[in-house]
Amino acid sequence: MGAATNFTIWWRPGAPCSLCVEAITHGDNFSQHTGVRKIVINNNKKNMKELFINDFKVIFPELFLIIATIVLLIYGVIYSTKISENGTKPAILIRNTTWLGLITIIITGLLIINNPIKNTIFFYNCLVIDELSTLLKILVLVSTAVSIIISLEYFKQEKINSFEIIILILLSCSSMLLMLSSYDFISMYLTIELQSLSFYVLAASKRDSEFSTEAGLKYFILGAFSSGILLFGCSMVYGFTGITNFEELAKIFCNIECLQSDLPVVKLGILFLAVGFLFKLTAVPFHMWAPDVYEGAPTFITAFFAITPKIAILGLFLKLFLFSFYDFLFPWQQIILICSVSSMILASLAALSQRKIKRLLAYSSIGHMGYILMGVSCGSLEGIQAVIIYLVVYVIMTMNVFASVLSLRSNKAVFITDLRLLSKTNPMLAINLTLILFSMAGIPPLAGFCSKFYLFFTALGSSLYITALIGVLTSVISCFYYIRLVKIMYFENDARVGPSATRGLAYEPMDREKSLIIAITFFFVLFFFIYPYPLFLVSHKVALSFML
Amino acid sequence: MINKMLFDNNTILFYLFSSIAIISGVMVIRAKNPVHSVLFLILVFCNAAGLLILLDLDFFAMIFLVVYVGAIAVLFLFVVMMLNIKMAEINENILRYLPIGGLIGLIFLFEIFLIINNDLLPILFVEANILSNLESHYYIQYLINNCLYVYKYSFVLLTGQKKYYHISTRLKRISKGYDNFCVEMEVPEYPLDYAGYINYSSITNNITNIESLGEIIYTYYFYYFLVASLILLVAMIGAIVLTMHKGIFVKRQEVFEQNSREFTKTVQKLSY
Repeated sequence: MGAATNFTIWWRPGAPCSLCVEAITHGDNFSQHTGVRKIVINNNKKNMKELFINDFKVIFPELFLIIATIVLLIYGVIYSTKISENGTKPAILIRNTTWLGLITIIITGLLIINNPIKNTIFFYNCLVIDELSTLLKILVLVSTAVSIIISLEYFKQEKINSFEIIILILLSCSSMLLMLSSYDFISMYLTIELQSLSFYVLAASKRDSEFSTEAGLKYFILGAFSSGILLFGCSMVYGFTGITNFEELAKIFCNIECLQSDLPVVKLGILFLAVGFLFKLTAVPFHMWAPDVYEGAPTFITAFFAITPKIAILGLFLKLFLFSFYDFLFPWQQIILICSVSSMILASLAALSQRKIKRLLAYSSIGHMGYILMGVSCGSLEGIQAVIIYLVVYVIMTMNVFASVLSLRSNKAVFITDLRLLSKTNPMLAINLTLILFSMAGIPPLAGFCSKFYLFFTALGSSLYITALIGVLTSVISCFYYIRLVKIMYFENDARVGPSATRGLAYEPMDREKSLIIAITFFFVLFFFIYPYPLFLVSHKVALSFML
Repeated sequence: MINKMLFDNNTILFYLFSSIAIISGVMVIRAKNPVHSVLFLILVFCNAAGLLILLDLDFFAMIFLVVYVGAIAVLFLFVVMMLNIKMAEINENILRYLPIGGLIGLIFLFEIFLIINNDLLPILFVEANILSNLESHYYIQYLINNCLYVYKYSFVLLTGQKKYYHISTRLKRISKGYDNFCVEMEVPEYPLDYAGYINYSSITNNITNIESLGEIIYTYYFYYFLVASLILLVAMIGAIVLTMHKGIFVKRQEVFEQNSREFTKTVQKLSY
């Protein structure tokens, strides 16, 4: 077609672009005399370039992250296969790859903060940048950086030398950034797949461990299942509206009550979409995989799983359900409420009988997801604000807990009874863990209390009285297992308890990076209640961005 | 009219392909021999390709055959034959789970039928006969305004001709019903002009699937293409991470040594 590319009008509905609008306005002439059989819009290369002329400035942080990751991958591939002069010993690349990956993430974060364009839709309605995505992107980057930092020592001790783990973490991080920006079903699904695929590999990355392989396989099968359900929901909504774009869906459904038919198939599609998302968020009827995967995966990967993906998925969930499907609030509110209540109840009861630390934390995160979903189901501005505050506080508490768990290294602290005598062997860590667990349980002056308080208040404001009541009751129940950990750390030095009870485990000293992380997050959790306004202001701004 | 609907060529082919696909899909699970179930799986894929051709998606049908039958099913066959799976006794568990599973499945099926019937089926085939000529004309305009408000931006809409460019089943059904209706009631062509829309389908030209796909995926939607390539990259890295062994004892390629070796001396007969 040479220099000028001819664009014939395309059947895809939706996606109003400048081209289409132009065609519509020009079309009137054609409809008069039907002898004309063809509209060919002469769209030369210059126009095509101008279509995306500003978009690359907006996508620059993600672009940088992906390109840097690929450069790191090439670096790793070259130097890990290169044979050094003195022998065939492969190079130890993990440490410098880790640090380079960390620098990449920090630079990406700076680029996102300093992005000149704060609010736009780009890449032909595929992606969006708004307040929500910017805040959550920064949160994702921070949590990825933290989970890399806390695994530095782990790599050294476990003698892990596969730099691909860092590459996969970076790729999944970039997929999460793109996921938070996605504004279309197709871009949403593609990024979810990219993220999940990296996660399956990460979960199975400890190849010689049976648990890890099992975790990877289980995650893979159930994740593929949930992705299939998600895609089915998307195709139902597409099939009955002809639209994949989030904003156009919102526009179409905004007069749904005026219509005769209330589009039951779209409701079914929304149900499937909700199920897919709840699978990924580990809400209760769909939570079966979470404890096994958390337990089986290597601990630093568990930390990454627990901290990071929930932010991205929840951001997407908020955007889809509170923006696009807001007019179907009452149908999906019931689904989310049932999942919220059941995850709060089941997590608090099931965690009582857990003996392993990682399984306990998995159930605790399921419970926290229940609280967050309660905020989502409010469907109000305050609900969004409460969700974001809860999410930030939860992520920071989880960082601290996992940093502490990763620093409990001797011959492997697996069971919760291994925390015995921690108050004697490492009193500072014991104090820190105690306060963080109190915060998770929601004991008053700490950060966890503030977020929970705000959440329950919002739920009461949206007249979800029973849900809020159940939330309070389950948080009382969950106090039990958090405080049991504290009891084990401080008071259980009785020789009669078990065979290894006469001595506590001696832990190796903590490295500097992890201690910094623990200190910063501890400080946040402890003093959040004195000056909570920045977080409240930012989350309010984010919530306001939903009101168009 | 109904007879015409039922024994349309496309309809017959649709029922043929879909029923064979469903039956062979059941046989994939029911077959005792794993090789048989892979062969049934190939049959499912072939029928699905036939269904795609019925939707005028010729390129996708071809890709479906090439990828699923050519690559994936053959891979399955390889794996099944390599693993040497014994004929498992599957029959035991089926009756155990059948009542509850069947019940849930039936409820689900019923629910979907209920919803789809509610939304899809009685749009034109029934009402068009009941309503009088003028009324039905307005009724159609009403339907177009109400059901197709979605397609404001779409170019290809209802047409009086036999060509259907659109993919959505709902639209297709309407247009089909309308088509028959047109013939019988002699409503003028290009109905959308009445509804205030432009009948673009009569004025656009027709291009093939692969052309249109190529024109759009490398330009407007290049982002999807890039993300898909990243997914493939992750799949490749994942396969390497999970299978490759690194270490001193792993035999690796020594390019120089292998090339400079004298081939006449590599294989030697041991002297007694």
